[in-house]
Amino acid sequence: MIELLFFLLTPLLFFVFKQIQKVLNVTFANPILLSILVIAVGLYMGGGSYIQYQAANVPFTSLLELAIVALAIPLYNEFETIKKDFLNVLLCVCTGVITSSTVAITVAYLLGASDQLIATVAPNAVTTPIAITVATNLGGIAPLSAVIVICVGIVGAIIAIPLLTLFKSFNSASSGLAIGVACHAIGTARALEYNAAMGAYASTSLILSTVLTPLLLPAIFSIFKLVSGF
Amino acid sequence: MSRISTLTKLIVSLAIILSCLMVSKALVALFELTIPASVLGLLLLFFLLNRGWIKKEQVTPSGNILLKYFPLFFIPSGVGIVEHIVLVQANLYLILTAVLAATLSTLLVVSQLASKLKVGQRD
Repeated sequence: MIELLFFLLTPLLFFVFKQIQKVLNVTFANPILLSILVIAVGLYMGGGSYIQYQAANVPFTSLLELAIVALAIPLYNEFETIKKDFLNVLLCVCTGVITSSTVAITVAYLLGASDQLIATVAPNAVTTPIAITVATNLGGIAPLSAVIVICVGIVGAIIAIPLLTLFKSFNSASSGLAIGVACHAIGTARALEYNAAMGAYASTSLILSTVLTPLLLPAIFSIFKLVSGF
Repeated sequence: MSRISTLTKLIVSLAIILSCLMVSKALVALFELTIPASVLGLLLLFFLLNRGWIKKEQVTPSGNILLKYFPLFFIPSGVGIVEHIVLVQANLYLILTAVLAATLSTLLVVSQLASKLKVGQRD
């Protein structure tokens, strides 16, 4: 009985929070974050077992890998628009992936974080499902990475455009690229609201970082381990 | 009749996506690759689409459903944070500092680089 309740809880809460966000229309009311927090707090307060909840939700989690494969569809859609600028866009997104992970790893290391925590904050800029996969492979705490990533998206969606407009060089293409690689899907949704061009570059950059992060991060992580000796 | 063809399209598209994942899993296991099988599958499907060997319409029926309900597939993993509350409490400032520094520097570095390279601004 409790299994069925745990199984229904995930979609039920998600769709309720999605409707609430549609009405409120504020970035902070992110349905993914709210669903995670409400279920987590519920389990914590009610003394429920996460293992039991997780087992009841296997039908959902087992589709994660298939959905990641399906990301090839938006990548294919975006590819037409960036073909002419492809190398420059690729260079920008690579730089973004390297910057976000290197800065997070270095700062965490300097503040005395454990290996496990360093691996957890490393994939902070990429879309949640990839962050979960990468954090697991690096030996980090995947659920914590997931929550960090969503918070980065929310904070980024709020501060990115006001921050970038401070610069004389502000334009839609470069801001879109920066937002897509630094603040993934939640930032991209905000960029789309600002204007279509910024949205298009943000989703291109989001999709490319989805592919590049799992390719680059293990290498960056190994290099850092070698240099710092942690 | 149309209901049957819709169902067929759903099954065919799901079979294509599943095949990409399975082939990638085999490759990752065979060559002991560090890249996640799902991401290799993404690249494989993109390659097939880009070459025109598979048409977009052949994968969108189930592909779009998977993309639409994406959050449902990782919310349960995120709930796992309940098992790490003590760790988060003990390291809250460390995490916030590291992540905020990463986000701000990435935004600034990428936007400045893209402006220098004049991405999207050529005649």
